[in-house]
Amino acid sequence: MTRRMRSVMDLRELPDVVFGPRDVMWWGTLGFVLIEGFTLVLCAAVFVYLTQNFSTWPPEHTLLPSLGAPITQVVVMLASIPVVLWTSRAARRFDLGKVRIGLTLATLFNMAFVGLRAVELLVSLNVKWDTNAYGSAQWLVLGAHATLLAVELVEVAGMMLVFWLAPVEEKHFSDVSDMVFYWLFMTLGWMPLFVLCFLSPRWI
Amino acid sequence: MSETIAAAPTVDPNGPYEAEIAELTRTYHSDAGRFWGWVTSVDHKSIGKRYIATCFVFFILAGLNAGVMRMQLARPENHIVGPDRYNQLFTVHGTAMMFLFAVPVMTAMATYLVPLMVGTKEVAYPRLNAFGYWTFLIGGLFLFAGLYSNTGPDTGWFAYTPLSGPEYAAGKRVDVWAQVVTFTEIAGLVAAVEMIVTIFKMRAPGMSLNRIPLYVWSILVVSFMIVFAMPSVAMASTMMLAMDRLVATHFFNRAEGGDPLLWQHLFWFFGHPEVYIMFIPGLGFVSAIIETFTKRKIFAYPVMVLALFVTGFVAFGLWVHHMFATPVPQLGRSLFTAASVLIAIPTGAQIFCWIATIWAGRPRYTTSMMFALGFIVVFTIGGMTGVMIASVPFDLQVHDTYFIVAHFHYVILGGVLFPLFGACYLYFPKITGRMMSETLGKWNFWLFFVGVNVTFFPMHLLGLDGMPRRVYTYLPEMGWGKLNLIATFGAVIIVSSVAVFLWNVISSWRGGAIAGPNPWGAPGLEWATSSPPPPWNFHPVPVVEGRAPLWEAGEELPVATGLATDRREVLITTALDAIPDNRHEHPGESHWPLVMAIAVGVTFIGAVWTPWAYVVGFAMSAVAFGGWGWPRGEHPADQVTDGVLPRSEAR
Amino acid sequence: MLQDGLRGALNQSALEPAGPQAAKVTHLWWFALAIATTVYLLTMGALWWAAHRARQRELRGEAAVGPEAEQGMTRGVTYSIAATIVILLIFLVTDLSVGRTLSPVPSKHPLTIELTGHQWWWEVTYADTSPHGRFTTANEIHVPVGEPVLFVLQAQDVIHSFWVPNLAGKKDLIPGYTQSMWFQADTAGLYRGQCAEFCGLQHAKMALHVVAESKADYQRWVDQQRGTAAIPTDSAARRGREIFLTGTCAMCHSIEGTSAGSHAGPDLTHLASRRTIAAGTLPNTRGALGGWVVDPQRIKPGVRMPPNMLKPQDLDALLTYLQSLK
Repeated sequence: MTRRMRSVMDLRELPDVVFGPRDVMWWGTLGFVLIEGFTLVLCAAVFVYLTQNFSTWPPEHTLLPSLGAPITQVVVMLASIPVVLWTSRAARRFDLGKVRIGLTLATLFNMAFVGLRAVELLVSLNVKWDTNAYGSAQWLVLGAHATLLAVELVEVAGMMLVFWLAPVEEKHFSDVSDMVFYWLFMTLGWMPLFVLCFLSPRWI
Repeated sequence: MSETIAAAPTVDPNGPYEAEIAELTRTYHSDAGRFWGWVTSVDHKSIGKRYIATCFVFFILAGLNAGVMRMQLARPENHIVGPDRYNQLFTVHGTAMMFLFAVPVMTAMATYLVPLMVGTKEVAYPRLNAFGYWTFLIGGLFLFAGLYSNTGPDTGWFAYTPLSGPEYAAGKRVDVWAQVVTFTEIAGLVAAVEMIVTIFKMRAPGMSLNRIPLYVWSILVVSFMIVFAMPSVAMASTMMLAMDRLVATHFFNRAEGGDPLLWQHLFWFFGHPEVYIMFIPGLGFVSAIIETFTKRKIFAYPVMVLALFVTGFVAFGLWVHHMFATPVPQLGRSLFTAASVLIAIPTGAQIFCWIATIWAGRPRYTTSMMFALGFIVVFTIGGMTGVMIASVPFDLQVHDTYFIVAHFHYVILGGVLFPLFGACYLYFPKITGRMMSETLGKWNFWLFFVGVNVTFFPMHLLGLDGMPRRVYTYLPEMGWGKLNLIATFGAVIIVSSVAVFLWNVISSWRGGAIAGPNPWGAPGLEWATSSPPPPWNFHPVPVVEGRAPLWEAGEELPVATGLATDRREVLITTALDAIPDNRHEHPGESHWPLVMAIAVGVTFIGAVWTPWAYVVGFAMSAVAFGGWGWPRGEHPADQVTDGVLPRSEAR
Repeated sequence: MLQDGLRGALNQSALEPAGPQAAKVTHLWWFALAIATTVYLLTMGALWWAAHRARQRELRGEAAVGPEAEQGMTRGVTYSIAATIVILLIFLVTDLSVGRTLSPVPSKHPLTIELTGHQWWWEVTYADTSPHGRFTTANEIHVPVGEPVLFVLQAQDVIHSFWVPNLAGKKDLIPGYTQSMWFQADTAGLYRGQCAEFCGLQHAKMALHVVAESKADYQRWVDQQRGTAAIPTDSAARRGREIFLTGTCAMCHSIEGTSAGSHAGPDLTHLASRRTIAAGTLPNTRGALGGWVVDPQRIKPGVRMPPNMLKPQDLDALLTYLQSLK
C-alpha cells in the first residue's frame, strides 16, 4: 500500500472461540446441510415421480415394507436428540467430562442407526434394488440417507477419540456443537423420508 | 505493502508494520521445500493459479477435439474419423468444456480473487480448497485417459438414456463419464461452499453487503446456484445411471417401471442452471472491467445486484425448454416458454446500465475493455436467438440442429470467454506482477472476435437448412459443404487467437513490464496490496467505508490492527454489516487434502468396475478424514484439561 | 427421374415450407428475426453512441458527469428496460398463440401412420380399420396432398426424433412412450427428413423421404403396397429368392407372401418401389444395392446388418430378385 495507514479499530480483544453461526465452521456444516438436504429432496422427488409408472405402488408381486426396524429406527433417532442436545450444552460450558460421555453415547447411537439401516435395507424393504423401479427408488432414498449416517459415524467416532485421547483445545468444543447441529438435520430430516418410504406405500 | 523502511521497535498502530510483516513471513514460510511445499500448499492464490492453468489445459484439449470435428465436417463424406471416434470426440468436447473448463475456470478465478476483493487473507477452509482442486484434477485426467485409450464416453455430454444405459452403451465408456461428472461436482460444491462462507463471514470491516463489488455478488449468486443444481446431476449420474449399468437398478428401464424421461428432467434441472453458472461470473467480470476502464462506479448498483439474483433464480425454471419435443404437457411448455423469454429482462437491464456507465465515464480501450465490449456485441446475438428458441413451434424446427449449436456457442463464447479473457488481461498484473502486452492483446481480441463470428454465424443457416447436430458426416447433395468449410476456416482463426493469448501469457509472465499494486487505478481492495500479493494478502486488515474503497479513501487508508502474526489468523465478521466478530486460526500446509482426494479418486474410479469400490474407498476416506482432523496440539495454552479453562474467559 | 427426385429431396430446409405447420413457423421466424435485428441494432447503436459521447466529452475537456445527469441516465435505462419488457411480451404472446394453432388435428379420421424408430431406420406402418388394409414399409412415406396425416410415434430401442423440416417441427420417439403429431403437405413433391435425436453410431445416416402426391397417385401406391410380394418369373429371380430365404437375409427381413417374417430389420416386400436404400443413404440402384448387401459396414459402420460374402452369380441373382420387388 503506497498510502499511509490510519488504525481505526483494534481487533485484539475479539474472542477466538465462538459457537453457532458466529463460528466459521458452523457455516461449513450449514453448507453440508443444504447440499445433502437438497439431494435427499431430489431422491424423494425421484421416488414420487416413479409412482406414476405403476398402477399399484408397490407394484404387483412386491410386498409392502415391514415396519419393525423402521419404527425402531425412528424411536432411536428421536431418543438420541436429547442426548446430543445435552452434549452441546456441555460443550458450550467447556465441560470435558460430560462431552466425553456425550460423544461416546452419540457414537453408540450412530452405530445403532447404521445397524438398523442395514436391517431396513436388507430385510424391512422386502424388495431388492434390481427387482423393479420401485425397489430402485426405495434403495435410492434409504441408501442416500445411509451415506449421511455412515459419514457421521466416522465424524462422531473420530470426535470421541479426539476428546478421549488427543490434546483437546477450546475450539474443539465448538466443533462438538456444530456436530449436534448436523445431527439434528440428519435425524429430523429422516422423519419425512420415513413417512415417504415406509408409510406412504400403504396409503397410495 | 507499506513502503516505509526505517522501522521503530515499538508497535505504532498507524505503521510501519515491518516487524509484524517479518513475523508473518516466518509464519507463512513452509519448511517443506519447494516442490512439496507447493503440493501441500493451502494458499488460495497458489491453488487458484494452478486451478486456472489446469482449466486452460483442458480447454485446449477440448478445443483440439473440436478442431478434429471441424476438419471432419469441412467436407461432406469425409474420412478423417469414423462415427465411433467422432462420437467420443464430441462427447468429450462437450463434457470437458462444460465440466472441466467453463465452470471450474470461473470458480478458480473466484478462488484467487474473492478473498482479495473482500479484504481477507484466505478462503474460509484452506485445506478443503486444496482438496477440491486435487479432486477436480483427478476427474479431468480420468476423462482424457478414457478418450485417449478409446474408452472415451460416446453418448453425448448429456448422456440420454436408454442410449447411455446398460443395454445400448456397452463397455465402460459411460461409466467413465458418470464418475468424471461426480469428481467435478464435488470440486464445484467445494468451491461454492468456500465462496459463500468467505463472502458472508470474512469481509473487511465496514464492507456491508451493499458495498461488495458486483463481481463478488455474481460469485455469491452462482455459488448458491451450484449448491442447488449440482446435486441433481451428481445424483442422476452416480447414484442412478451408474447403478443401472453396474448393479441393474431400473431407474431408466421402461420394462421395470423406470423412465428415460426422468433422466432428462434430472439432467436439465442441473443443465440449465449450469449454463448460467458459467455466464453469471462473466457478468461480474464485465462490471469489474467497465468500472475500472471508465473510471466510474457501475450505474444503478441495486438494479445490477437484483438482476443477478433474478437471473440466477429464474434459471431454475427453464429446464424443460430442452425437452419441448418430448411428451411434456402443453401447459408446462407454455410456462417454460414464458420463463425462457422473460429471463432476458435482467440481463438486458444490466447491458443498459453498462451502456449508461460508459456514457458517463471516461472509457479507455485497453484489451480488457475491448473484451468486455466484445461480450456485449457477441453475447447479445446469442441472447436474441435464445429468445427465439424459447418459442415451442420454432424450437421444434431448430432443436437438435446446428442453429442450437450456433446459439449456445454465441452465448458461451460471448458470455464466458470474452469476459474471461478480459478478466485475464485485467488481473494478470495482480497475479504475476507483470503487465501483458497490449499489442498481442489486440491481436488476441480481433482474431477471437472474427474467428467466433466466422465459425458460428454460418451454423445458424445450416440449422435452418436442415443440418442436425451430432452427425459425423453428411451427404454432398445436401448442399451444406460450403458453410461447413467456412465454419472450419473460422475455427482455425479461433485457434490462432488462443495461440496468441498463450504466447502473451508465457512471454509476459517473466518479461512483461513490472506492474505496481494498482496499474489500472482501479477501485477495489485487491488493488490495495502488492502485485503479486504476499501470502497473507493484507496486513493490517483494510477497513472499508464505501463501494469503491481506493477511490473513496483520501490521503490515508483506514485499517484494523491487532490480528496475531505468529499464527495464520483471519478475521471473522458479521454476515450483513461486516462488523468484526471473532478471530479464527487457519491451518498451514498439509498433505491430507491430497490424500483425501486420492481416496475419493479410488472410490469413484473403482466404482466404474465394482460397487465394492465404495466400501474400500469409504474406509480410505475415513482414514484420511482422521488424519485431516486430528489435532496437532500446536497451542498448549488453549488446551482444556478436566474442567480447567484456559486463558480465555468463560462464555 | 431419380436424379430429379434426389435433387428435389435435398432441400431439407425449415424456411421452404410445403405445409401449414412449417409455414406458420417460417412466418414466426421472419417476424422474430425482424424484431431481433432491430433490437440488436438499436442496442449496438446505443453502445456506440455512449462511447462516442464519452470520448467527445473527454476531448473537449469537460468535467465528469455529475449527479444531475443521474436522473437522465435513470430515465434512459428505465425506458430501455420497459421497451424490452414490452417487446418480449409481444414475442411471448405471439409464440404461445402460434403454438396453440398448431396443436389440434383438423380432422376426425385422419390418415394414420405408425412410425417406429430403430437404430438406424424407420419402420412405417399404415394403419387401417381392416387388417387387409394395414401394410408396413420402411424409410419412405407417401401422403396425399392437402390432407392432414396423423403420426403415432414409438421407438424400439433408444430415443429418435422424427423431423421433416419442409412440413413440420420434430417430435421425439421415446421407448415406452407413444407420441402423436400431424402435418399436411400442400404442395406435391419429395421431402427429406432426418433423425434429429442422437441415437448412436449411425444417427447421421438415418434419413427418410416423404412423397406428397395427388390423391390418385397416392391410392395407386397404397394398393401396390398392400399386395404381397411379386412372384419371381425368371430363373435368376427365383434363384435370388431362394438365396434370400435360405441365407441370412430372412433372419432379419420380411417379405410378405414368403416365409421371411422377421421384423428385426426393414420390411422389403416392395423394396424396389423406394427411391433410396439404407435409410436415405444411397440411391436405390442395382450397383448401390449390391455394395450395400455385400458390405453395409463400409457405408454405415456400426449398422446392425452384417457383411454378406456372396459369389458373384449369387449376388447377381439376389439383386435381380430384390429389384423385382416393386
